[in-house]
Amino acid sequence: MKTRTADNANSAAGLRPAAPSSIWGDFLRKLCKNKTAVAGFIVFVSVCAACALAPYLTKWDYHTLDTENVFAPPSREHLLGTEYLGRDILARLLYGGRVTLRITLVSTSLAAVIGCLIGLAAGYFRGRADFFISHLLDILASIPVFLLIIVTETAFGWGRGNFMYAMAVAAVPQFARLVRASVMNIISCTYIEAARALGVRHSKIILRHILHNIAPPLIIRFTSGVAEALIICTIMGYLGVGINPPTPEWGALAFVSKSYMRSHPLLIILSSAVIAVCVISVNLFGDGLRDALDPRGT
Amino acid sequence: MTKYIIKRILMIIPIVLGVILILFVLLYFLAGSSIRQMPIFGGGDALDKIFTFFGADDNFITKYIRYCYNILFKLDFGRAGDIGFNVTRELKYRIRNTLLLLGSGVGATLLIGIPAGAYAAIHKNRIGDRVINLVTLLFSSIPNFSVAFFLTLFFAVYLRILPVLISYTSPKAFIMPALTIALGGVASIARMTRASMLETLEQPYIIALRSKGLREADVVYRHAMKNALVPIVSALGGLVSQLLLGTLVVEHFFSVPGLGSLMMTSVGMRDHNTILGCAAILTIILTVTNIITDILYAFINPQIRLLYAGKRAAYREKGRRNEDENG
Repeated sequence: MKTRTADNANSAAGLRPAAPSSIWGDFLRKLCKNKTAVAGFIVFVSVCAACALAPYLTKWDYHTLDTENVFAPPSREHLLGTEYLGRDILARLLYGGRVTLRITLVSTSLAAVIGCLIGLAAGYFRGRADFFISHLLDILASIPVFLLIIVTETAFGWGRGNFMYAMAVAAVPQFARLVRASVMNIISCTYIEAARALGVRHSKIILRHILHNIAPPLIIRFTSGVAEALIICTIMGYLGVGINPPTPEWGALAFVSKSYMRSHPLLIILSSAVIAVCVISVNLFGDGLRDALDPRGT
Repeated sequence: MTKYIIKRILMIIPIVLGVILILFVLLYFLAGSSIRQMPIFGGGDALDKIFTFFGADDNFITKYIRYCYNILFKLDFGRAGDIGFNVTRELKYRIRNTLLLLGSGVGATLLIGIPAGAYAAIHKNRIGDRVINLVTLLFSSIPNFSVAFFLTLFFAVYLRILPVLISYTSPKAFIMPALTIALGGVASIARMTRASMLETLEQPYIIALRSKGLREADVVYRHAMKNALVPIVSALGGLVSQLLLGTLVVEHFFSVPGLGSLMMTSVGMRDHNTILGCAAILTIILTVTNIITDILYAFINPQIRLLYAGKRAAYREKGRRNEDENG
């Protein structure tokens, strides 16, 4: 903040401001130099955009059957052909991406927010709350993620919304543990002690000092969390958890086309490829983020 | 050391009870849950006497106690909701397949991942390193069912050397499922091996060994490898939990009668007793592997062993610090 006001003062006085020296500026510059990271980001964003703009990119919808045109090869009418009920593959992939990506992004963001709150409460205030929270997290973390999702789905009913919340709940322990650990690292620093000695309020310490400092590991964790959630979401879709037909979902598409995989492997290949492209691009972007945010500067 | 082991083993009990409690809560309060039909009296055992002594009611808590008692002391998982088959017998029959799959999957992951990571570390930033990095990243990014699909097409349909859809008795039948499970976990193991190998190769004693005139192969495989593998052991627990999901998919894809496929069928049939049984068994498998990993780690890593033998307080402090760092 201070450097920025100083820069403004300089430019107001007609002087050229010095190169910006904020952490985030450095980070962005480093990130933009990393070509694979930028490429990953662009690919993922364009896949998201394509799915969001699905109604404008294809004239077909994902659920109209066309039994005259079963297993049509790619043509001008159906750009990627049709599947076993004559539905357009491209439309199903695009609309399926809407479902998959929405579930992935929303559940990971929810998990990050909830995990952040829980981790802050445990790591900052310690005491009995920390005892309960960390033990509960230990127990939750020792349940396999898919078990938690399946059991929660069974308990609260099958549907896309519940599936999303179940995925979020399953991902919370990782975020909460990370935040708790990094908060406890930061809290032992002298500047926090100084702020406390000066009588700064808890809310201000958390907002100004702690959140600022736990952001880098949290961002890295978020990108890898998105990649993991994508894989888990598609696998759950493949197993038929949470997604009911005819809703297209990339994993569910692969499951349906499994029965025809010897004669018409196009759909399973395409859905696998789309999932792989998304996961790889997110992973590459995450690797770039890690390199850029690493204070050791590798 | 024995004290440490006993402590870790005793830790299994609260974790498993807590996990069962969470799953029990989730499944008990469902409309029409078959768990609620479970009787709290089990035909004249010790718990019956305690219940009659206290005049226990038929409610959630007594049901939970009865369920845990039956699992822990009688290995009895109750009866399935509508068909009424014996869940315990079903679980016993299926646990073998799941454990075989999981075990062979973990074995294959280590067999592929560790050499790949070591090779990448030795050939750092050369073509071999790049290729290994790229290939493992690719395989970890494809969901297991696609890997299974491509492997089936390649080995069973085009090459016709491996069987699919047979009874899972011959070891040959397990090759493709194990490979499928393994390819999902190879990336993390290879990456970890590479990182820890690179770190080890920079240690002073490696320089000393090299300046002593030892052959490079001896330096790498006899001295560096041993120390580089220590962090891998601590990562085994996480690997198993990661590969469990792969096992579930593989059981579904290759129609292996295992715990995962039983659970998916019973989810479809709303058979909550069987779901709970499968979930409990899978969690117990995971917890036990985690604790075995911890004990193995303590055995391998002399730092922990010495600390525990010497000053217990120092060990506790160190353990707490490690826990905080690792999250």
